[in-house]
Amino acid sequence: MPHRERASEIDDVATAWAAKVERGLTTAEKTELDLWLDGDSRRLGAFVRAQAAWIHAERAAALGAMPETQEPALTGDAPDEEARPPRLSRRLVLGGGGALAASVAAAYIVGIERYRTLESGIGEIRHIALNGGTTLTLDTDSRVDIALASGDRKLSLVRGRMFLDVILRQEMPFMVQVGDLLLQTAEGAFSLQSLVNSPIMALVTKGSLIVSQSHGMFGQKRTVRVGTDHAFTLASDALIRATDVRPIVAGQQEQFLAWRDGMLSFGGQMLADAVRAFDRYGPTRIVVVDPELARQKVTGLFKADDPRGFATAVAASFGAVVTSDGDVIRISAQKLPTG
Amino acid sequence: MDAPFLARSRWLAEHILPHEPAMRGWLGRITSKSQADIDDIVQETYSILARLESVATIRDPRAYALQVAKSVFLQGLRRNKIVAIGSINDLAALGEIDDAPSPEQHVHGQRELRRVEAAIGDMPLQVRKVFWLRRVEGLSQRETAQQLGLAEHTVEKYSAKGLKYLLARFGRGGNPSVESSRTQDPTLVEFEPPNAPSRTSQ
Repeated sequence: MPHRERASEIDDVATAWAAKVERGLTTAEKTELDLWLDGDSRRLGAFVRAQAAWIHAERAAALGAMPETQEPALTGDAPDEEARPPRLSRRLVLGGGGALAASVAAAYIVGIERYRTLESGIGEIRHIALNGGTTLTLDTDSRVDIALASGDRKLSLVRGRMFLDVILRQEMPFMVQVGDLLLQTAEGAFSLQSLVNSPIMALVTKGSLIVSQSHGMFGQKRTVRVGTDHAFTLASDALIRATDVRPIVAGQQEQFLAWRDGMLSFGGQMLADAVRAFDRYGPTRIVVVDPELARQKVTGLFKADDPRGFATAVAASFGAVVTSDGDVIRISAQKLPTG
Repeated sequence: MDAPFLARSRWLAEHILPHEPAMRGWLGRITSKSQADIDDIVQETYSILARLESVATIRDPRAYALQVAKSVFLQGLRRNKIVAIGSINDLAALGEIDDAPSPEQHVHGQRELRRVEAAIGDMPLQVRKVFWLRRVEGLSQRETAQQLGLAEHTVEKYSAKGLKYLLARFGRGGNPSVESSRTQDPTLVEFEPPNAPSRTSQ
């Protein structure tokens, strides 16, 4: 990882920008600010925080007179952070492939004639090593069928969600079938989901993916390429178009791949949709009683197997109450006089 | 006038910034993260809150912000692939916030005023003058420059410096009592006189 900007370095620039914004920005400066903000997700945070501090300080008017310092310092130096101990290096030691490889368990299951079927139970996340070093991760309640004659180079996602890290093997493409789509890659990594009532989605984190669709025997074959850090989304029965491929930002990637660690991540989804995501991980069902509440947007990272914790956190954020009855958890609006 | 993110920053100033010391204290207690890491988490948290489409429906911004901070912390854990035993305990401790949502948090007007006062008191004289004229007397950058006989860009620079003093009051070391307190939110135990000057209107 290249040099990571320290939070205090970001603060330095952020406060300068906040001061500039206070006196008004030129068009060129606006562009420059946008560019700077795009450079690191923390920068926007530092910027709005500085702006908030400026606004917050308007209450100083209540003081009436300018406060005096105990010891007048005329140097004009802002508090420097140089004196603090050097930042500990971010712990990246385990960041390599080792962690993943260690948790991969071989799981070969004898299947029916031409396929062998790999399935994960409800609440289970399986790591499976395929021939040639390719690894497959299955999310809860998912099933893939691997063609026996393919040497583990062809599989079909029957339902659920998976992540595949494909190792290059003698120019032989890895093929994945899902619905009427065929996905091919020589080398790369991507997640793929085929869930009920939700579009097929592939997210490429490494290499690239060729997605093709044949419609009927005489239909023309349509193909799009999905590059690294791009996602492909297709509603069922729709035809592929180039606009189905979109770039993804870092935060979104984390969000879509959180399931691999047994987590569910939300970035502004409606509560009604978020609770449904928990359904796939266990018998517990969360019911949002109040329709207005169901439309609230949810942000955060939650343990997939802890719907109760999720419900409690949501209730705390939106001032709702949680009641449970067996496997059913209800979130309902609090009936309180607003004050 | 059309300053970027201004509306959201107003909301943050009102509902989140006052709770930042408590948030840092909480992160420090449960995550055993370094101050620098907590700085990162805080910035990410503000960033996420700034990007939210709407905050109109968040009833308990403090709880919401803590939840976001917790998520950012967990994201970091996963990104670094740290699966040390220690972090499991931390995760268990993280559950506390879910299990015991705190009673509704009010912004203590008096406490916030003292905080701003202390920050202004920390500023070097020239910075303090600039800050006072700009923020309290409401002078523009140009007017401030004229009154103090400074170049405009100096006023801008001093405004930025003043901001750093303000931020320092919310950041690390700004509220040393936070770290040592055993209560979930030390700011809760502070007493607010019923007729304290409340949030100033704009």
